[in-house]
Amino acid sequence: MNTNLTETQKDYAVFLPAVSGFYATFIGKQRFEEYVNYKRIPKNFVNGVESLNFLDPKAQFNYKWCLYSAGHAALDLNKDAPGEDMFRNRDKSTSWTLGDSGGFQIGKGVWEGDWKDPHCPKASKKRTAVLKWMDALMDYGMILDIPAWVSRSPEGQKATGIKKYEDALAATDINNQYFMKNKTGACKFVNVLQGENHTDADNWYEHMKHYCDPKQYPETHFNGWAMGGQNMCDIHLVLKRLVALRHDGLLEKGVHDIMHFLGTSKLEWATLLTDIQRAVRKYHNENFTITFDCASPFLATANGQVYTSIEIEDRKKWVYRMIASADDKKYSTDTRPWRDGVLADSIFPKFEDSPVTKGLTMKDVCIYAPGDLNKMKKEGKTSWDSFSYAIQMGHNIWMHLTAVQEANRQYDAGMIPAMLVDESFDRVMLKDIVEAIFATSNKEESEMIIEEYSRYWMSIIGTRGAVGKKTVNASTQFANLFEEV
Amino acid sequence: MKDTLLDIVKHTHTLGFLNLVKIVSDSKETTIESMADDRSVIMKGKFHKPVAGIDGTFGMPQLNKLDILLKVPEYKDNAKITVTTRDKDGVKYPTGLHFENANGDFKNDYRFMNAEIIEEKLKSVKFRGVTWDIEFEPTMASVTRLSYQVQANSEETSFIAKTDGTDLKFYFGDHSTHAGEFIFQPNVTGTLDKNWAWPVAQVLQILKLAESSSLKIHLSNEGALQITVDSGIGEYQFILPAQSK
Repeated sequence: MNTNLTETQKDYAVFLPAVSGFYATFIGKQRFEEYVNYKRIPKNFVNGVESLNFLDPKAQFNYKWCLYSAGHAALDLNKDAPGEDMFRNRDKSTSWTLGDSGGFQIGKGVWEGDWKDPHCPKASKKRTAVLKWMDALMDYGMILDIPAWVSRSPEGQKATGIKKYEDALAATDINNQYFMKNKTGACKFVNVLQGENHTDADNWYEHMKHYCDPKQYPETHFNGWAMGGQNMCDIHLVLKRLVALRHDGLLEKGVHDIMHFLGTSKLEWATLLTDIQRAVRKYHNENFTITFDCASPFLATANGQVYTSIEIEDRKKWVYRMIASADDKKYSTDTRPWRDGVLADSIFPKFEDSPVTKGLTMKDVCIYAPGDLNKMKKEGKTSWDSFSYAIQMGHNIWMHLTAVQEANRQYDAGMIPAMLVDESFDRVMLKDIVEAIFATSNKEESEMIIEEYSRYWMSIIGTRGAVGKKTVNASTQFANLFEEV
Repeated sequence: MKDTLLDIVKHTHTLGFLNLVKIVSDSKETTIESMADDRSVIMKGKFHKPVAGIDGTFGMPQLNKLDILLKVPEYKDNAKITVTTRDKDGVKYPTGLHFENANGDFKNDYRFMNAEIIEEKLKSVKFRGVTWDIEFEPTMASVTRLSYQVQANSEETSFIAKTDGTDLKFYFGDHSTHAGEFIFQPNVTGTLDKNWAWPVAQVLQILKLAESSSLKIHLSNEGALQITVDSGIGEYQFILPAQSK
């Protein structure tokens, strides 16, 4: 069982687990108090709760990369926040963290303020706090973008004053200018690209690209890109953008080395992004690194599910399976190994152990016996306490990372996910097209190749947004032809 | 009243993509609006005569239910369909439709959506306008030919309309797929030379209304398609923004 996932990362696009505040809290608080009762900690966790801190080489398993969001962090660095210690006292020599900015919180209306007004006290306070937090704690950070989808979020519109795409663009401009002027240089920033269709995405890029231009801003330019909105789920748009970046001089070695894809969970995309990373490294920028994140390992557990197995077959859909986990008070005295118990009792048809579950017993997860009271001093229905969730999150992180790396290993060994090959008439493989796009240094030629496969791109389904055939839709022309009255 | 309701259902719910309408009515005119959830079709219409007894603004939700009620055999002959109203601040406004069969022993009520909610759910939009480059009345034969191509290219969700000389041609698929093309309308004046795509299902469903209504197509190189349908009871304008990535 692989406990050093940093070592096996090779030259794959880098998956970043989007660490939940809930998970980080256990690691942080336990450093200051007996947040989890010592007797409660499973015997196989040789370093106590710290065993779950995968950024630490001494944990149950080690993986040096992750994403953490300012959106749920305690931003005031002058205030003690033990629950934030996983990131406040992170060893930067053995780990690398990308900070998400909290644009999602603005879009959802959680961070209130008139973000269109550069002097709005509420928005200014938050903007300042996010920048300071990024500069102090993160290796790379996203600028504080206002996602274009806020125009479809009634709560976001109400709380932020952002009514339409143009407002989101203007408000992001304000944040970008502030970040550029006030950043210390300790954290490198990536320029977030938004837009819900090709037209808006092109417009956003043209409007915002100058922030990455070292000719205009030799000392303060941003250092890479983050793909949000349609940019993160539409391979046609991704390739168009990369070609534009290359020929605009905005994908340069040592200057713009990072490109991050927000909220990307599909295994097929893990291999597709590796193809792109390799092609860009081969023909243009040898440092170019693609990162992508998702919160699935954490969200799955919050929904009571654990990852049980990875399914990778040639020319099939590639998936990691999640199933509702064991939750029964009858297991509170069950000392069987977790894997044996869940298989013997047919809770899962298959289960792959991780360094977190190897040595774990049934009672380590299902901790409450009948009659036991929870933290609220009540007897609940579940046999889980909050640490049961953290344990299973740790397992899910390892499984997700392993799935991503295994997908890449099998892809390199010649297996292909169905999504990345079309054999309807000729054999069309994504890998070959990507190679051809970047092999030529002629921009028009690259663009022609991309357009040649316009329909093929629709068969490569992204995680969200307008995907598949829905990438062709009426949204652009509706905006051009109609106005709300 | 029943004919008007049947006309509304026929030009909205039955098409398969318009499920909520807004009615605005007074003593001078009665108008109707609707929009597909994906904004592929925006419909605005006006009845030739104002509909009596429904003054006000209200929504008609769940048109499938209204469709069922209108088809119930109990309401086929001599049924009474009346508009129910409520009085608020001295003003009467419509709240629904009451269905009662001839014997008075079989009844249903269909509720309207109030003005505040329908204004939220179906925001009115204003068409900025375009130059219509091509206008013509399609024949049923052309619509039938279109449906053949739709069947032959069932995997295609959109088609492209362009002129080739004086012929207006519809194209399905491209060099990388199964494909088809045909002349939809010969002898047109005007040029369409952009690769705008149009949604297959929506266009075909609207064009099929030509079986019982007069119908006119307006196409613009600016990326808009309008199909005007006159049912004899009302005139409906279906505007389709072109589809693109």
